[in-house]
Amino acid sequence: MEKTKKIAVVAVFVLMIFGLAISHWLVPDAKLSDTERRALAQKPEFSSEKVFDGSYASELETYLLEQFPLRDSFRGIKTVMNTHLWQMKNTNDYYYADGHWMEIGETLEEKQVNFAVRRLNKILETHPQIQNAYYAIIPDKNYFLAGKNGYPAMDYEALYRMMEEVDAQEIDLRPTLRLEDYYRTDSHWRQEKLQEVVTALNTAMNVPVVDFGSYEQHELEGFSGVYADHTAYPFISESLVYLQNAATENAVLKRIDEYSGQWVEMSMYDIAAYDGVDPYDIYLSGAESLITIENPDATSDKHLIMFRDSFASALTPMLCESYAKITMVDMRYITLEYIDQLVDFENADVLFLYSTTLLNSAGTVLK
Amino acid sequence: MVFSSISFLFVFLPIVLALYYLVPRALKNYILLASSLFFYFVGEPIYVILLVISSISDYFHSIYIESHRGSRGAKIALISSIIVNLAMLGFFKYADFFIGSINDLLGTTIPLTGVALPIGISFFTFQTMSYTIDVYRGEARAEKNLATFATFVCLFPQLIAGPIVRYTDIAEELRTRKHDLDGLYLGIRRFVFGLAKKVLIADAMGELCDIFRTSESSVVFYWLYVVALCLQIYFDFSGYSDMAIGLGRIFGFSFPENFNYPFVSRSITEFWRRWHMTLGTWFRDYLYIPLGGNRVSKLRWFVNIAIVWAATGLWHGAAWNFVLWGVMFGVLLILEKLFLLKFLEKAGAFIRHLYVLVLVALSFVVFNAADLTQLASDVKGMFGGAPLWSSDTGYYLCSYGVLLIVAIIGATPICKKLWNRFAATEPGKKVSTFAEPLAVCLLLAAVTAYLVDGSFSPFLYFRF
Repeated sequence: MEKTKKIAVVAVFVLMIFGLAISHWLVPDAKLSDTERRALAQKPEFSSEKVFDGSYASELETYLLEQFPLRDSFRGIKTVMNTHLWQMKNTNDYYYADGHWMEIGETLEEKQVNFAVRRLNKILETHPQIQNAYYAIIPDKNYFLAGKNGYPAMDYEALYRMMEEVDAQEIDLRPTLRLEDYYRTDSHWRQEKLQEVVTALNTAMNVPVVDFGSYEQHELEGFSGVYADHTAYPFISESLVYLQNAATENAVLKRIDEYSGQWVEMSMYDIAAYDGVDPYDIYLSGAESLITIENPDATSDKHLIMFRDSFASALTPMLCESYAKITMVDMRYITLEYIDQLVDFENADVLFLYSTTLLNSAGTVLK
Repeated sequence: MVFSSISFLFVFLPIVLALYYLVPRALKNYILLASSLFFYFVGEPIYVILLVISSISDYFHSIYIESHRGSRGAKIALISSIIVNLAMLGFFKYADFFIGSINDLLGTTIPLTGVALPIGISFFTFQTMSYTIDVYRGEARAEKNLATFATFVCLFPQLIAGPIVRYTDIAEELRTRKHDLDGLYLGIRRFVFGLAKKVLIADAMGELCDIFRTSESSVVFYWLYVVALCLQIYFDFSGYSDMAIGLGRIFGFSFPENFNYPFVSRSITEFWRRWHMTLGTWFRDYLYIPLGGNRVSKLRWFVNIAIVWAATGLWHGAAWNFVLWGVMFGVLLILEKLFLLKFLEKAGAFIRHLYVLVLVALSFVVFNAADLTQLASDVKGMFGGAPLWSSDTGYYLCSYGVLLIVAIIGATPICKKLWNRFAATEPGKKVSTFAEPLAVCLLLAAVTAYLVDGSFSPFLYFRF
């Protein structure tokens, strides 16, 4: 028995050390990390200069780390150990609470929020032809998770107070949202849970309220949100849900092509994107600077111009039933001057729909 | 290159192990020598020459000493060898410290040399010095084979972080050593446990120490930091020693033990018999006893202790806080020899443990201080110079609570004793047949996971 134990210890060690070493050597190097959404280090170029200044050794270590076989699975082991064995409050600044993954919240950046206020007011001031203006803030998951579970978070009340300086009518979404309305492994909300949000927006903006009963629900299994990717946490399985009805199917969508500057047709749901880097991109193809959605069967003839971030991608399909035309503007990718050339503000309603996360870094990300 | 790196674990080690076990016995030392030089070269491409110089210098000096035993020439050769080693150490490790101190003291502007500290220089110079001294004393035979001697000096398992292996410890094994299943098993087990101590516990404690510096402070957080710091230093250093001893066993060597649960000590004297034992015995045999040890007048005895502990402090680093750290222990040891030990013997075990833990904790605050200003601020913070509590204190106490408890228990022999007792029973033997390989597998996987995660660097634009 003693000998068996000794042989087993030696065998386990030799198999692991040599097995992983050989795998590292045999498995082709990856160019990109899908989970981290960045390029991975490649084999460093050898030069005697780099050897003697020590940079070759450090580049080689980085390369070996980033191209390590089963890298994400190993990262997942660390996440599970930190979270469940050591009971640490966070791992790489992500935390697990109430069945959800979230990143540690940042403190309130007043300069950034003030920038957002100024930018939104500038749009309103320079476009007097706008009919009605509204703004709505989407609280991130920390709003529901952080304080309750003893994590630091920004002063949400202060952010909401600062945003009152925007010269538009506030639509308060806080009473319409709960933690369950967000994906457990992602920062975003769930489209099928937005009935109350859509009702609040429809009511405040004076358009007919959408009936969620008319939608057919489609599930894409094995959804891995951005936090699942970043933490490599293996134990949560979710499905990404999207809703379809006649309005979403018949609407005509166009986006501005960033290279040609021309309008090109697109679809409401880009199912192929589900297998891409960010599965949430199935909604309106993810990051797009300018999109128009025209619905010939809309229940109103209104034009809504929505200044938005990624949260709006899942919401807008539910709004298109109520508007003849929706123009979605993402100011992270397009300047105000360019917007003026492409968007007609005449008699349009404007909705500024931004998450707290974006508002808290507006100065950095908005053009 | 460090043991706790992917390049060591999954490139260097498998290649060296394969070569070592594939070549005939006569070539094994050459494989070890070549791989050790390469190991050092990767981290210190230029300074590898120092290893070569040190090896050649002490090889020829000791051969000369042996062939002229008892003559004046032998003594001169010994002094010459010590001068070469100390000059190397003095120039590369202490020159700028002394120049800086002179500049501070006299207001001069002598330019600093700016030379970088070669990794492990304190270890290999002490090893080579002890060898030549042992040859001079007739306690060791001069090694005639330069490759064998260079293998001793450069042996990578203990080259950069000890333990301080004396030539006499492994002289026999350098020529003939056994490679068997027992050695491999014990070596692997020790190496993996040491690796886990370093990566899973010491690094996490280090993280907490770093966090402390950027967080809202409180008296409790100062003490939390001190506990984390003690555990970090212990698990880091003893983990490295375990890895070195384990690797030594894998290659057929028996290195001396370096740590023996120092935090269970009941006096500072005992603490130093359990902490960095190879350094303690080195200074005892090659400095304290030659100075006369305790067989001199009381005053001279205390001076001897003071010299040894100032040197011990200085050995750990070229800065005044290290000198202060060493002197602090010197003073405590003198006090213990004068009266404290007798007093402590009458005190209860709890008081004795508390006495050691508080003083050792304070000593590590001295040890880790970036400068004397930070030292003063840390000591002040520990004793009321900050609010009692802060929200950060609660957060990080919760976050690292389990790890702290595991580390504290792991720093005592409780688990080892319980396991050994259990493993000696019949059911224990059966369980350990599965548990030990499983533990090696899980710990190695966990260590790999923590190392690999070090490269995690997400693109953060996803958030919007």
